[in-house]
Amino acid sequence: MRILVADDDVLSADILIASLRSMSHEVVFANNGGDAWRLLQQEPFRLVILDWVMPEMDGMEVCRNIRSMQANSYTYIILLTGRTDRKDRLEALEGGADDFLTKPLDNGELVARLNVANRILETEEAVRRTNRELQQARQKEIELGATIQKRLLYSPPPRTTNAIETASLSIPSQYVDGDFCDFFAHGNEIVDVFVGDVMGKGVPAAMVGAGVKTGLQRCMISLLTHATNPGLPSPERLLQSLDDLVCDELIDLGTFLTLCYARFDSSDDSLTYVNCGHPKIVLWDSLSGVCRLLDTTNVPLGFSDAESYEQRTGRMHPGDLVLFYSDGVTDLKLPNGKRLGMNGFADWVECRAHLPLDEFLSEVEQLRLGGLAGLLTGDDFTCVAIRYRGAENEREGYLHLWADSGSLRKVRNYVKLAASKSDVGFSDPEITELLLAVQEAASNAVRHARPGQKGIPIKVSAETQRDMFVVELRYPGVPFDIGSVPEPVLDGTKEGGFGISIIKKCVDDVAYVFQGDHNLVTLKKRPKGSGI
Amino acid sequence: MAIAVEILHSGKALVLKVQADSLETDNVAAFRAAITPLLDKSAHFVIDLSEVEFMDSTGLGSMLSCLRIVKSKGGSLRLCSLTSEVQQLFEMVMMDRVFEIFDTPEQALAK
Repeated sequence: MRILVADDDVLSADILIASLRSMSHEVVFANNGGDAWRLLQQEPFRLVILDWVMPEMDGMEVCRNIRSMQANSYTYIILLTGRTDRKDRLEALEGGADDFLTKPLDNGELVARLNVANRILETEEAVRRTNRELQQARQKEIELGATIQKRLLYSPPPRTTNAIETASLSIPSQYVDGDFCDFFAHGNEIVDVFVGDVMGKGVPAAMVGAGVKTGLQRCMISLLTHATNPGLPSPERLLQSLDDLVCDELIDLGTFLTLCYARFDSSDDSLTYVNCGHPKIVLWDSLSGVCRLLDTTNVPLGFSDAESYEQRTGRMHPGDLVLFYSDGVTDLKLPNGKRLGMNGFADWVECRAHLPLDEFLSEVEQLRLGGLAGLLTGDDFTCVAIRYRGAENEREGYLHLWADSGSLRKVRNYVKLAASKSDVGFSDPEITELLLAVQEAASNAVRHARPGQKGIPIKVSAETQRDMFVVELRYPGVPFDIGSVPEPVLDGTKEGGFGISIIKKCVDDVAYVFQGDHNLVTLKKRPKGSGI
Repeated sequence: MAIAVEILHSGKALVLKVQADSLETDNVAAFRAAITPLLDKSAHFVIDLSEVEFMDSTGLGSMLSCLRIVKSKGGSLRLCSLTSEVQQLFEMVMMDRVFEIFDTPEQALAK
């Protein structure tokens, strides 16, 4: 063992050092308390033998300094003293000494004291090793739990439906907990989304979450194949069934969970939901550009075994953004120190809801980083973003879609199909002209109707009216004055400014009208041949 | 809509082929990002537009941007293999007078 000996009495120290070395110990010597303390700050010693009375710093002061120092291992301290007074010895023990050696030194006593020191240090090392192993095992369990939570409790969105576009951000805290999220796709038109949060943290909460999620799947299958009333169950019927299955158990376990279940149906553009105490759904209306919070309908599951579930239904428009999120979002702190809250989050969403979902969630991530105020870990943080796309095919004589730059092809395809089905008799170059005009008008809407925004809901109709083929585009936003657009420069020195000129050249008549709260663009084209 | 620019031929001039069926608002930024570094690799260019069935005013603007960059370095840029739809757009806004347009890459290189 490496031992530090500090004694200003060189003769006495030599005898002690010789004895220690004869027992195969490695000894480092300091001839005053100050040097001893400096050596201890440079490297750790498991055993220190200090003379009580020394110049610069006495043995007791070194002893107290050692005990106030943060160290990875225990230092056993023996005080060398001629004092036999009980009061002195009690004071030394209070100050952190472990044992004493009386001067003049007795070799037999030294051996015995060292044996005691060795036993205690070995025991202390064994305890430390066990603690370290326990800590590592606990950390491994937490990591494994987090992986299980991610795989079992968070499911990826379905890829089989066009009705909604989904993206989610899920950042677990350092603890396992019971947040979960899943989807049921019913054909191409209907998608169910549900998110939940079990009270508490740790593996028990995660297991309850997994149990409830599985229970919901069982209820869905059971109701779909119900003997007397089969078919897709309404959200309220499904929740009632889940309540029957798990509520008593939740009450027995002394836990509860918040759950929000929402159904998007693109066949009638509806959203039907049940919200049992989960943070309120944020709905951004693409037509008005305004966010609102949808009311909670029920108390959390496990609060009452006599709960009757109530669902609410609302109309959806292409481009509407719907957000489900955990309270990790609303608990974020603003720069002014206040909690973000649900209303604050809705306000924050309003001016960013037009963004493509990946960009939107990047912004949410930045919001989180800012709101953690430098803390490395926060609560579980989940945000599921749904862009309602709708059916995106003709219904009631028009196509209604969320038009971002990636959707303009859908507008062209719709008009092309309508023109080919009509009896107008356009030639191929005339079809090209028509599609160019539609593209420029729709692109103009996306880029300018809501300045700075990346999408707009557009309603497109295309039909034959007497001797004309007429395309109409309706969309919200600021009015557009076609008369204010200058003629393009055609010598190649300017890269832009061709759009309106192309529209005018491609169709016989173009009109931009602002009707109350939306723009109406009308493009009329007559075939050059005999036509209709 | 994905877009790529393939180097078809590298000799006196670099022949670049636009690999997308449209060049429009949706992919024009990606096109600019793909082609801009290639414009440093030569002084003379031919852009093959045989796959591009639809081009809008933003696509046209990106072509003019390429022309401006190349000309500012004293080079040349020719277009070839335009589909009838794209040819129609160029004629409509008289860009067929601004660009040198050829039927095939070989013709563009021969001159």
